[in-house]
Amino acid sequence: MRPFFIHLILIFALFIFPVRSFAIDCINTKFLFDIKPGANQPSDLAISPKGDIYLVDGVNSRIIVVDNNGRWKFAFGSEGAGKGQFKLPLGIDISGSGKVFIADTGNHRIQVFDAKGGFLYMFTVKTFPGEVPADPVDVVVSGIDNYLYISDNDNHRIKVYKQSGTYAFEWGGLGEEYGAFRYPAIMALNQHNEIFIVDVLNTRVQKFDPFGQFITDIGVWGVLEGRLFRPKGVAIDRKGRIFISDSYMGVIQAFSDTGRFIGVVCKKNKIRKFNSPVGLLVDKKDRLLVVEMRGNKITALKLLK
Amino acid sequence: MFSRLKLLPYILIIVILVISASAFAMEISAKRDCVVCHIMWLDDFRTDHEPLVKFQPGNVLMKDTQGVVSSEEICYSCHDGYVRESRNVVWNYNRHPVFVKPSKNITMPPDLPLSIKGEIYCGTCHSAHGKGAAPHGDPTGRTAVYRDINIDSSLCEKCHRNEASFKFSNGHPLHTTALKLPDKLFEIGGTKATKKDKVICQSCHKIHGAKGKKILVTVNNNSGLCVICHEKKKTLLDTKHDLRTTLPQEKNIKQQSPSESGPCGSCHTPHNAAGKRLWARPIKKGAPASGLCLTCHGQAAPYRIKRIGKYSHPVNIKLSAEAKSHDGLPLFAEDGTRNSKGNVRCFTCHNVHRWDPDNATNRGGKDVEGDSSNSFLRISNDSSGLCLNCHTAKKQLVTSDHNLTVTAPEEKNIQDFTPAASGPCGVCHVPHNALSKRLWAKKFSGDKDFTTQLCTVCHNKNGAAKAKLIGENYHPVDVTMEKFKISSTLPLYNSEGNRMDNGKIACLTCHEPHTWDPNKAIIANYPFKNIEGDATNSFLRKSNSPTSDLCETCHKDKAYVDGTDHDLNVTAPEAANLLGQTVKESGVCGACHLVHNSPNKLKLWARPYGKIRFDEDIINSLCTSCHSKGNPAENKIPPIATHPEEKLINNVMRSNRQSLDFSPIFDKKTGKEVNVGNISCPSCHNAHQWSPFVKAKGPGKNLEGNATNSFLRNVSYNNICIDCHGLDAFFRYKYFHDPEERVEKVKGPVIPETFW
Repeated sequence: MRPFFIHLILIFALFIFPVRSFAIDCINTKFLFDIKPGANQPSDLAISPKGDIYLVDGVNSRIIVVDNNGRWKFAFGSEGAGKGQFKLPLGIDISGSGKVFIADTGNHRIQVFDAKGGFLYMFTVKTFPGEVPADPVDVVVSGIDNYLYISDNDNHRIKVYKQSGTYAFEWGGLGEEYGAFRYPAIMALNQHNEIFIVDVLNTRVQKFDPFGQFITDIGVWGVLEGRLFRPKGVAIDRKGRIFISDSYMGVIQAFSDTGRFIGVVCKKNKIRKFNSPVGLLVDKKDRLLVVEMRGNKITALKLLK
Repeated sequence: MFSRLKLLPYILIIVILVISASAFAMEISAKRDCVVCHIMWLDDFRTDHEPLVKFQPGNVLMKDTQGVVSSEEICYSCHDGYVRESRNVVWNYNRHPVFVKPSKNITMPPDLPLSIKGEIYCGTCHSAHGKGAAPHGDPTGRTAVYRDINIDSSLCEKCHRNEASFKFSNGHPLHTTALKLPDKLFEIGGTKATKKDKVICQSCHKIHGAKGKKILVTVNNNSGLCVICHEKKKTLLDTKHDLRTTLPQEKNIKQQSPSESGPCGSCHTPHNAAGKRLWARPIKKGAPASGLCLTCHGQAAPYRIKRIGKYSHPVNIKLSAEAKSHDGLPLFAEDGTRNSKGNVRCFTCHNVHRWDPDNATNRGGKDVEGDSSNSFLRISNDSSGLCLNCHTAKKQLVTSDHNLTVTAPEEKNIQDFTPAASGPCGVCHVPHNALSKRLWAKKFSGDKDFTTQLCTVCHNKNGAAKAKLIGENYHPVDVTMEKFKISSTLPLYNSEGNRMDNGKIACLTCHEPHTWDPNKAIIANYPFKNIEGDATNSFLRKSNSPTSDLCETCHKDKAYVDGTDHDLNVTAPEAANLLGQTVKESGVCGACHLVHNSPNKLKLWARPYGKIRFDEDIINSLCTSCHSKGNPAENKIPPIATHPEEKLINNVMRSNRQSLDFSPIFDKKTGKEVNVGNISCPSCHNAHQWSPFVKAKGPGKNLEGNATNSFLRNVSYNNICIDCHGLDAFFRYKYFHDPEERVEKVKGPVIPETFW
């Protein structure tokens, strides 16, 4: 047989008989404990330098603080538009100095508190002509220039402020192309201050440099392993693995920072299901903390090697 | 090395692959937007790979279709705040039931689908592809992706037709703008209609995120929602009509206890009520509106709570003419709706939603006994303001001695209420649980008929009115007019106190106990010092001075005395009767007759009897009480006025009072009319009529008489003298008082002037 035809047959064979693998790629975890502080559809969490866990209990217009083992400490905030009051807040981050930044979504602003919940200051997230009122759903504190990244969900843009509340710059816009968004959601920074932003309806996580330059994207549309259907939360562990929660599928998947699928969070090699997982966090003890919005709890898991 | 020709198939394959990949990418882009909701359309489910979520075609809910509609989890995956924020609106608190079959009261329209199980699901109302509309019918339909437009809750009404047809189903009015809807309603979640004050389903109900049961915008266990609009009804809370405290186990027609339905819900239910006014309690068909109250307070009600008793204020009646000026008191149609031409109902006097009309914060309490100042009355009745609002003709009572709050404050009625607690009217009348039809509120003594007791219960020697007794000699009562062959327009009564045309004379015949002075509407600055009345007031039905209007009503032929010489207004205005009253005070009749407390039984004579000879008729002493020296008629003293004693006279043919030839003869000792006796003054004289020919009142001046008048009872040719004396009687009659000219000389001595 002539080599050409042999090659042709081989090429078609590749398409017709793809190599199949049915084994699940798992990242096994061990259940540690649930934190059920009486929240109603909580969304995001952060850990303070002291190790306390701050949970956004937005429907109850408050921030709940528990210790590192999930024991209740205190809560702050109430419903309203005044200082220290919230309207359906969603996002949170804590700076290295212990300042607590809250994306006060319904009030279109960022509020800043000390570690004890004492109000420090606030600022409204700016919008430009043609935009709807800002819808800040998450906030991330960066070490670069004291930047504060804010995902403006309804305007499909990332707005960058100084931590003091001074506007710096922004990027994004509605679209499917790289650098554009359809409902940006939770964000996370890696050790290089590169920012990973969940792009909900584009079913991906986009990676940018600290100044908004697109680097790569993670995840494709679908319901198979390594695919995303409704991504919401993102967290990065010490190994640089990108954990992405999918609130519809109820799973958490891990990718490399180049977008290669690593595995699904499992329990004894079986997929571990969560009830609307959203905010994620991997702490210094390699504990994966998952906010289950409809479960009204935080699930603490140990990431096993 | 391949030749260029040999490379062609490879290039061809690469081109095909690139083109097919582009097509696949385009397909992905188009599909992705659909699969945002319709996840089961994903090709991933149709590979050999295990998906991360189950392929659940059974999750498809629309009848007779496949793979169209997504699950609630899909909705939530966007409406969790990260695409749209609906956590608080949709997934917090209560929401419209889903995955249940519609109740039998629901009529599903064909364009609102149910699931394959015949259940309501999200897609029954929502569709991204429907005519969806914003709450006000925004044609872009971007906000709520309704399956059909929802202008002023029109989508709700498509299924809830019973509730929409509120007039037929006795439901809360819709699309009305009768009330101004307060902003608070919208602050807690009520939806504004196209006109702010228009009531729509979503004014009270919230399809998602409803804090109250039955998807009400707020918890309504304490009727907090109802009173936002019906704020005036808020005063019901914590009163006895708040059944949470008084009848906690009682259930309304929806089988809800008061704590479940809220205090308003005990009596009213917003949909499918038992009757008008959203009545939530069993009600007999056709029962008038007051039946609403009787469901609890009626004699047949299972509870012994404030039953109204056998005798209660009449309801379901038209207002009397007297009560036409019922300021502020509403009338109601039979169905319980307000109607200015309606009838008196329980809630004409009662505001069932407010315990104390003067103090909204006073809610009484479970064990607090009410009085005239509260008791759910519309107007405080501690001064009988409520009663007098309709019973305007009784207003004078308050400024009279019959207002016992002033004159007998310690007196108590059958409810053991003092006048201050019962109000002036309540001393004698109670609107419920009274002792008689006249709503009598005083204990009976039992020794007299009821009508008499109305007065004697106080006017007795131990009673509150012991200073006002009638004495031993008083005007006849408890007798019919027939006995005296007279008639009257004054009221007569039976023994039960009811007015009857052929009833008996009672105190109430002459007295109107609510009106001190019949000529005045009200009396200002009444001193309440137990003042002595006179013939112009004294609770008489008519003033009896200066003319005898009251007495005349019955004693018509006696009233001709007015204006004659026997009217002391004409001849002796300064003369006083036994009570020290001048004629102005006593009235014309009262100058000679005392209706009460006369020391003289005979004719209730009001003056000291005059002197008469020892063998003379006592009846003459009535005449001589004036016609004697030192008395008002001392200039009219006949030198002789007696008929020979030994001549007994029979007047059988002249004893009919109605007859023209009436000539009475009196018993010498008692003065009663008899048929055999002697001639006395009244045999020939009618003291009440100046002339036998003229049945009229006098001219008001002192006249000198002659044989044709002079109070003579009859003409000379037809008097009693004729019966014995024949034609001779003319002369005997003419010279009867002339001792010189009398045909038959007087045997005895003529009375010397000094006698008088």
